[in-house]
Amino acid sequence: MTTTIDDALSSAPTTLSSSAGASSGDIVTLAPRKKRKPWGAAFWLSVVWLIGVIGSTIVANFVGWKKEVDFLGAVTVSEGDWRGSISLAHPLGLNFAGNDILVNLVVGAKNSLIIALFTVVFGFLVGGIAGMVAGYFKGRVDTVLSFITNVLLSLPALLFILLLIAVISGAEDEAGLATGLQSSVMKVSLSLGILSIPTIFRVVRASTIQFSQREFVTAARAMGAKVPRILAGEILPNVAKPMMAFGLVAAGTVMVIEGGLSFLGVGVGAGTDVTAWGKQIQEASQRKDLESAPMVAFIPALALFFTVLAFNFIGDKVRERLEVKQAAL
Amino acid sequence: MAKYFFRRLLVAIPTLLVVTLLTNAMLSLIPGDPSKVALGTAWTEETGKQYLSDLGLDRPFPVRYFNWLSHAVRLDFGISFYDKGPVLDRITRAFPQSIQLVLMILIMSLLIAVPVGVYSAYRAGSRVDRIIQSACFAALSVPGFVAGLLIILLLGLKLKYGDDKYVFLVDYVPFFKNPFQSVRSLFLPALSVALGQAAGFVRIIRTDMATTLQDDFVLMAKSKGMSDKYILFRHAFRPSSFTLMTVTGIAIGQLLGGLVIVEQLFGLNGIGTEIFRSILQRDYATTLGAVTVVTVVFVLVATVVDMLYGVIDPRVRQARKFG
Repeated sequence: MTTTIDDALSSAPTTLSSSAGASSGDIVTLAPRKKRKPWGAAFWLSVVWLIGVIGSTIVANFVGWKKEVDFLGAVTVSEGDWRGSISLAHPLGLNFAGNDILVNLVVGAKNSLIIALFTVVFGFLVGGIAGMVAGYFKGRVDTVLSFITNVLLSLPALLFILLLIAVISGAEDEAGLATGLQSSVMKVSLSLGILSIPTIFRVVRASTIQFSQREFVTAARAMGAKVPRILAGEILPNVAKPMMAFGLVAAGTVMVIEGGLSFLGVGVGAGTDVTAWGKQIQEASQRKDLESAPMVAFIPALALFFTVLAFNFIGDKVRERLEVKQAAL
Repeated sequence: MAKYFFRRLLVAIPTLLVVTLLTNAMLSLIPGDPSKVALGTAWTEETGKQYLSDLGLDRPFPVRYFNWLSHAVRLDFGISFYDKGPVLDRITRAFPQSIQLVLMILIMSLLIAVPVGVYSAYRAGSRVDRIIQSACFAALSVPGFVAGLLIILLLGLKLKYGDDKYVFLVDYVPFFKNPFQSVRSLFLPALSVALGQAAGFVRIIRTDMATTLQDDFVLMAKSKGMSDKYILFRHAFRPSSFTLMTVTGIAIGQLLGGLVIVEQLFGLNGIGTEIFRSILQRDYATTLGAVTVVTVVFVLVATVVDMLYGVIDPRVRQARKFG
């Protein structure tokens, strides 16, 4: 990333001569044509998987699938007989509560994906802006913000998120017995978003410091650009690229943490009948029937695994393509 | 060295203060009345008020915090709102098991990761290396509870009925009662976490090691006719282990706080379960005590790791002596 100017200069003559035949209206590009590594089959598989998951949730939304709905007629099967419940109507069989596993998967995917999206967007909005401000101004602002970040990071992540969830989703039932948690998609996203702020802050801050010392920032300042203009126009475009890769990996991590929370019974859908992948795994894993039909737990687990893998893989490839050093992340 | 150590500890004090303040504040923000949970059906306006004033919960937040703090520095974390027993007893009951589990996870994951990572760097780019890299990548995408479930079902552990649900109950044997049985009882819980942890370590070791192996001193050692094994472990591993050490230090804290999932899965009553239970039951005194202890351990480990840099790298030692 730091080599673009030199590269452009050194290869300028060849680029110019090779593009000499271009029609007069064309803009002559000085950037060298680099040979790019192909994305690879695994990358496209990941993309196809994610598009499939996202697409199926959108379709399900229009068709109106819900957890309770068997989409090709109701079939009741004795509990624990997972293999026997597989039919054309239920290609992945029924779970222990008699719900279609495929429908469950698709409906659960929506919640898991929405949480991942909201969390990352929220984290980047708050942590990203704070990180850019701290990295650009340094000094006292940076000292204070960095201290807060260090404090938050010295709480183990899972403890912090449990506390956040308790504060945000804590609820009292009619009797005032406050044991229950009611975690909506929004509440879980907000909790996870707050959890992600310190990490995102650190990454964005480091990246901003690196870019704020570059010539183009000094040039913009010399021309009298105001701070918001420099941050948004000069630094953001440069910081955004490595952040894209980081955001993708973060989305995968968010899904894992959310799954863990659901598994503990405090994630999305706790205390309500909303379903999510982690909750499906949890519900299946606490039934005695699990030993006879482990697939009921492992089908949502596999879906979660492949989705997280896809996010990680795409993130990794994007990072490679953008030539971000691993240490910078 | 000792002076440096204490200076580092002094720096950690403000962090700890703010963490405890934050935890206190968050707990008091949780909706719900602790007295209602503790008293259950016996709750009335009167008994509830009595309960809160007994525990000093009716006083303003700053008073409560400084009251708590002045006791906590004397290792008095108050009494549990839940069963009125001392919080310290609950913590000391749960903690040894969790520490043992974390240490077992670390030892197991390092035992797997060091040879695999070193080999992967030694044969960088080979087919074996690529397979190892892919396997690690995949392993890092497996959520911890899924790994635990897989191990449980593959090894055919039997489900038992826990408090209100089926769990895989592991009968923990205290370490000093029977070390062998104790390690055996925690083997599967530790393994289920260690595999994912190892995958992360392998990637770190490989990256650092591959860089070190490009250095001139490795070529020099090679030209002197030393065996590859000797070069890898005696020359190259030590300068490649800095990131690994940092990450291991962070992992201790994260594992200690993250044990709740594996503990719930295997029916263990460690510090993670204690914190989880106390948050749900509004047993704030226990939550505070346990979170504080975990954070103190976390900060202490970070300090010790910082010291260890000097042990591993003579250059750091020299810089500190004159710096």
